[in-house]
Amino acid sequence: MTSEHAALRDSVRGLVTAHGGDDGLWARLCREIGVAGLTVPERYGGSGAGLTEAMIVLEELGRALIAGPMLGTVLATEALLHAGDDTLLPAVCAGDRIVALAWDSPAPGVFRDVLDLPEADTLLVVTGGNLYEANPSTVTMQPTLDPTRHPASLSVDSLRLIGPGVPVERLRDVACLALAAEQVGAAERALELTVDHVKSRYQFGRPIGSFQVLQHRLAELYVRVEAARSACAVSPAVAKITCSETLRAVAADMVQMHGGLAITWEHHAHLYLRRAWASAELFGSPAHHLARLTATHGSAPVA
Amino acid sequence: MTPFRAEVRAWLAANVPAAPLPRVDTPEGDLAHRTWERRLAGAGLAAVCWPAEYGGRAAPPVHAIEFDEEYHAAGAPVRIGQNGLFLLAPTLLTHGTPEQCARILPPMARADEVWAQAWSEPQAGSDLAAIRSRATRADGGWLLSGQKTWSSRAVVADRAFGLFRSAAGERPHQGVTYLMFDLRAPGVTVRPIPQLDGTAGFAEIFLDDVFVPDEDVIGEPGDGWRIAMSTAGHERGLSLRGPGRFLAAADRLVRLTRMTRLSGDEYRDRVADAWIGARAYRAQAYAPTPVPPSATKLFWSELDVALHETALDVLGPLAEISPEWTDGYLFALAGPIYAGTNEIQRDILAKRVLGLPHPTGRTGPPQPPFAAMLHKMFTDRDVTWAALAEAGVTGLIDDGATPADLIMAFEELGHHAVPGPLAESIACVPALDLPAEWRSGLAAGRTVATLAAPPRLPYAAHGDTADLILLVTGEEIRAGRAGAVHESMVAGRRLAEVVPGKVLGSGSSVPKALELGTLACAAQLLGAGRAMLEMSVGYARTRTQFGQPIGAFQAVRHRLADVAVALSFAEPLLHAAAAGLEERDISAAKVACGEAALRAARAALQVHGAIGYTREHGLGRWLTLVRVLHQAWGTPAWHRRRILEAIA
Ligand SMILES: Cc1cc2nc3c(=O)[nH]c(=O)nc-3n(C[C@H](O)[C@H](O)[C@H](O)COP(=O)(O)OP(=O)(O)OC[C@H]3O[C@@H](n4cnc5c(N)ncnc54)[C@H](O)[C@@H]3O)c2cc1C
Repeated sequence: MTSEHAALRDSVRGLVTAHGGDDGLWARLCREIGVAGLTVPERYGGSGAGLTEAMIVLEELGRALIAGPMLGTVLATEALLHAGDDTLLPAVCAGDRIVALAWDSPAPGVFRDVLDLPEADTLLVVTGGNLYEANPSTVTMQPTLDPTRHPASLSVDSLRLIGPGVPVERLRDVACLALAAEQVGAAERALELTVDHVKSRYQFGRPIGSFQVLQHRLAELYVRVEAARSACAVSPAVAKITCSETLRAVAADMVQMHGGLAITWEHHAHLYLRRAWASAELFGSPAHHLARLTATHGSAPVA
Repeated sequence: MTPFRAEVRAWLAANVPAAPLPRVDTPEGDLAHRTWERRLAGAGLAAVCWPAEYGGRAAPPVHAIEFDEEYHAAGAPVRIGQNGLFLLAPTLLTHGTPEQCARILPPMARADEVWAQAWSEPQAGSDLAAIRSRATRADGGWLLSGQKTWSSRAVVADRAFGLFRSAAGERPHQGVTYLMFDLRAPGVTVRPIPQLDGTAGFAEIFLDDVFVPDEDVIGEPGDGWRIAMSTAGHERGLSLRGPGRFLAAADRLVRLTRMTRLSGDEYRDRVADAWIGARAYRAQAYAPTPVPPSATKLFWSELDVALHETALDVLGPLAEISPEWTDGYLFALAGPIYAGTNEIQRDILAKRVLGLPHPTGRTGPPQPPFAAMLHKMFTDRDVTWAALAEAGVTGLIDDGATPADLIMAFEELGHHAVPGPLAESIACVPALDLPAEWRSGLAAGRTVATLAAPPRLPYAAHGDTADLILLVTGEEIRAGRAGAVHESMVAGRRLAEVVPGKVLGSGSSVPKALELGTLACAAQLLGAGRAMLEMSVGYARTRTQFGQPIGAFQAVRHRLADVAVALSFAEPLLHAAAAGLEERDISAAKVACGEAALRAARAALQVHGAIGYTREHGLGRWLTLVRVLHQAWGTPAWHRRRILEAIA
């Protein structure tokens, strides 16, 4: 990690720690750090950094299980750039407008996994490679295990063309990478919280973290989290599969090592577990991406 | 079906409420569940094994298991009385007085009194002996003070049974008294704790000088720990979790996979494994030799999690909106924590059953005489084919031995890693419809046979040296001769491609013969697995590092405990398969024995370290043998598919 990257991470973490639960967090992140414009060139009001930098931000938000508009914004700005928009982008980068993007369309005219719909002031849809501004005609909030994120399914009417040339496959790749970064963050934080717990919880007159089985399991989880972070550099599908599975494993062990405490509503362990299961299914399940991978690489089908 | 099972099935079919009852932690749910328990009690089904005077039927223990299976299969409501019925009642029947039983059990059966367990405390979770809540002597009884936590059902329960420190002991297990108290008594405060599923499934209990009369002490004051451990045995074992929950869930999982053709295929193996696990748990429940409660607990709690995780994966994006699975999953997740965490169970198994690090003698169950004779013979001298014949092993099938005898012998063969085409020449070929003189040659050990039977056996093992080579396709039996020969990873074993010769016959003897070969192979795997466990335990007790036997380290203990669990639950599947000779049961046994043996092999090598890797040590013989047999007589994937086809 370069020193600029570390500085970005630290400043995001600082803001999240100080204002994590506040409504104003997103505005601050945009104003003070410019997170919304990281992937946007300067002429559109961004900073022209890149997806790597956006993923650093997403990792930090993932750590705190903040599902705010960053992930959706990365997707929306990607679509707007392809479509050649120059009016919405500056407002989005400044944090003045929140845009929800519908692109994952299981059937014509229907979209799913649309993020940030309640907070957004503008809805964009990608259909037939074109980007439109649209009004939702029917909206259903998708049922979810995760109380921190509420994706919607919707259909739209009255499309107003913004521009052509938006590749859905590219959006899917960005979505997978961005989500994987969030998952890595969540997994890393869940692991840290668990390590803290086993150091301070005493049973049999010793911290439970002094027992070998727990030490070994935590060591293995550490390896998995690091491997998951590396997987983000391999390919979007690999990132999505590995990070989903890693977060699931870490969250499950977090529950086990917290004992009875983890089964309570108050303790955060279940939020990590819920995020793990819900995010694994977002933008295509690990099994779906695995099938995609084996198909594109021409290897033997999964038996 | 037993008449009892038929009665239960009919009664449940007529009485189980069509719609789910409201949640137990609500007033309506409390009432609805108590009403349901009353109906069960009215039909004499609340606790069938209790003596009749307390509301039971004095039924044998297997009836409780049959009831549990039927109950879950019928989708009947959760049992609000479970802590009393499954934990306190068996404790009272063993350690309580007749007066206590007569006073407490009847209202428990009718759910007039619902019970909670008050053991855990904030500082005493895994380390239960660290409890601090006190019982102090008072006139005619005791005064209880302190704090209990995580008490299931305490929100709706009327009474609780708990452990209290009544005297200072030298060791923490001493001076503990087992008492029952009223949750509505003055001085008791119950504070609900919301669980991660949102329900108030458990609660904290604060006690401030709560009076309990002497008649509510179970056993002698100060003897609470010993009695508590007997309750814990029920909690970890079959009493609290019969096989019903897992069988019902596995069946639902199989149905689900068939329905949702969505993503089922990728998960086929895991679905088959969940089904195998549930059958193994059931087979163990009915088996004559019970396994220790700690092993039972490890098995059911991990099976439950795996089963539900598989269902969620099969459902994919629909999982979140399938509360019948997500609720079950969240419930399953608590399994490795309550009733003593799984880490603690592995430690108990390692210490009490495997004898780590202190030697306590042999590990396996006592052996029947034939097996003991083989064991002695194989231990004392090198095993030649002639020796096998002399011991009567080669003639087992000809002598009309049952499949049960066959697997007993093959377990010993596996236990000693005896080489040769054993399943082929001893279990399978003699069961084929062949000329009598060939069969007598095989039985006498003069002829050694092998066969290829694609797809189960693509090559003939030891085809380079066998006297008789067969090729079986469908129900047709041909003579064959060895073509190209391939060296196996097992030293001395070679696989031959079979060049077909003339047709010898065909017929219905073929399928059964192949099943017997497969069964024998499964038994060999189990025996080899057990041998590796014994070697590892022995080694872990004597090998010292860092100033202690390596068996004192948790990483080693837990790994070997897991091997013991896997072997103990594969064994009853093998016996069930031998009893019924049903294809799907044989497949389940083959998969379970193979997986358990592989697990044993990996653990054995790891525990032995470099010495196990040397040729001299010999562990390699077992290690390579199980690796090879695991894939022989049908690959695990082949058997899993066969199971799914049979149960679909
Ligand atoms: C759903 C649910 C229902 C329950 N119902 C009841 C009830 O009705 N009545 C009741 O009295 N209690 C109940 N319990 C409490 C249960 O018995 C405790 O949660 C359990 O004993 C573990 O204690 P703990 O939660 O304090 O975890 P801890 O003891 O703090 O353990 C935390 C982690 O450390 C590990 N650990 C601890 N010691 C060691 C060691 N020596 N070696 C290796 N690892 C170790 C544990 O295995 C665990 O993973 C319930 C719990 C749950 C989750």
